[in-house]
Amino acid sequence: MKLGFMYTAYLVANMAIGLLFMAMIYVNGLLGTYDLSYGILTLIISVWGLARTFKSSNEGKISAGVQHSWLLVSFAIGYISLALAPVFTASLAIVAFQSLLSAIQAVWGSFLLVQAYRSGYSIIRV
Amino acid sequence: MTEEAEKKEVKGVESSEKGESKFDDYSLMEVPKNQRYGFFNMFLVFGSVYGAIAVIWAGGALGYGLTFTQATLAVLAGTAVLTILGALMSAVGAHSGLSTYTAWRFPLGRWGGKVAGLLLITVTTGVGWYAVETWLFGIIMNEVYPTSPFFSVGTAAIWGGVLMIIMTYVGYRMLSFLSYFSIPFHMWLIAVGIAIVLALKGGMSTVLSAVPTHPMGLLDGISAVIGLYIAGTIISPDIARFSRSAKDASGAWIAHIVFLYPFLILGGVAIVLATGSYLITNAMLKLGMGIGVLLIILFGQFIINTDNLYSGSLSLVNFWPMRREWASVINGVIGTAIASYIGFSAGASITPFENFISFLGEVLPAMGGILVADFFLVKPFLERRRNPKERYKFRENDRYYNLNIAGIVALVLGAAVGIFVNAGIPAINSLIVGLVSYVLIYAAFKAAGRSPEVLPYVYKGGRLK
Repeated sequence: MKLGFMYTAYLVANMAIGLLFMAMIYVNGLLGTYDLSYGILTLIISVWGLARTFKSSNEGKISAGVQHSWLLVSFAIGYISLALAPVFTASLAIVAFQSLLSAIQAVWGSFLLVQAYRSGYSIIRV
Repeated sequence: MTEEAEKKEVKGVESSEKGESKFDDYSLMEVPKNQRYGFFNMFLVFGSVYGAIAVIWAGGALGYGLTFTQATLAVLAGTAVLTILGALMSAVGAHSGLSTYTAWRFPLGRWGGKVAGLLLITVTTGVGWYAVETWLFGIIMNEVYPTSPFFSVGTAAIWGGVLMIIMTYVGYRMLSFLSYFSIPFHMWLIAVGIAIVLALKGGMSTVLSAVPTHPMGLLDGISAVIGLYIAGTIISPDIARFSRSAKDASGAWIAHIVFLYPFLILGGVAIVLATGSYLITNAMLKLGMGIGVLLIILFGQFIINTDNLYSGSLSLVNFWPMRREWASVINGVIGTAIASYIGFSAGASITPFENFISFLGEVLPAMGGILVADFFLVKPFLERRRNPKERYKFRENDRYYNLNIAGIVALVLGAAVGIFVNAGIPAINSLIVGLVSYVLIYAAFKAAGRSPEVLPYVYKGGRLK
């Protein structure tokens, strides 16, 4: 499968993930605000990445994909490392749901970055 | 540039690359065009190197002396100065492709550049602040895990220092990698940490109505904002020399300092005003945000200290030519030994040591002014070198000078004003005196039909000596 297409799929999936996080505004307390902020951030990065992808040539699509995936993976690590703190008290189901979504972001994105690196697209160079 | 000159330059680069370590990072030569990076890289490296947790801690000191409104004014004024100066310094780095200290060989002469680099950067940043930051790393690790011997202050300083030395050994590529890996989640953690701590301590209304415990003047506040970041600003060519263009380097500098610096420093102010302590990490720990805090400290301290050591290694190589990675090991071992000694010696006071390296650091703004004056005023208008890419260029068989009297005298004058004149903002006074006096002295020499540059030598190509 072409890398450019794989990145596009990842960014579209992240748009959906961003919307799901935003939907957590209905969770009471700090966690709702935290998830809403993170959801908006994810959505902005994904939409921005997709816009760049559609405007670019094939090589440009991969470069844009690498940059935006890297941002999403890094923010996902930051998100999950705070989301499990006691200050965000939540039910087990919510914690599991959050963890699953951010794990998808981090693992899928990391896999794509490794693929890109093997194809000569170093994160530092793109 | 003529075809012959281009060939000479390429020949110089090639000959110096033979037998060089791949970790040398062009420490004593211009970074080749094909080894340079764009805006994205510059922005992330600047952001992570200078936008670390230490800025919040240091900025927190303002919260003890200023109200939030006063602090905002101080930060805006200080940021404006740093933005302009840093953009100019970054442009010098990108145009010349030279490290800060190698570039200093033009306004100070070769010997002047060597000695100034050793005293102002190797001793202060490369060993001094590196040791302080490594020691702080040990302290914070000990706070996170107080019962484990592996995380005692001295032990954590040793293993933390060793890891930092290894990262610096690799050089700019490692700095880039660390920056890419850490900056987005680092900023997220810090922003969320600040927001949550404030939310639980009464919010912005508490911050805005809080009264500082040790009031200070607005000018002192502006001076503190500038002083906190002036060293990073002056040595920004160490990073900017890897930029493809001056526009990318200066743009990245402006973007990172405008978007990150005020946010970090005012975050520190707000935390102090709301909680009474600048240790945001402690407040986060109390809320159970342990993993996030650990990541903030690990990557924040690692990156800023890797850069300290990196600049220290470049300045040491400039003073005494050797492989850059060996220079990073030498500086790192000395700094780590100092940090662990302080860590193991319960009750040892670090204040005299900090005062000493701060004293040396007070000379830095003058050096910034002199470099800006030389590159943007003297070279184009008195030396008629209009093309910025040609102003700081070492060409094989061309004649250069060991001493530039104008630069040395201006540095002494600027430093004296920075250290002894307390009126206004000392950092700005020092910078302006350095800038103006350098131009005036240089022009006076020219008007008398003489050159302030003395003791000539011929550059033989390859790595500078």
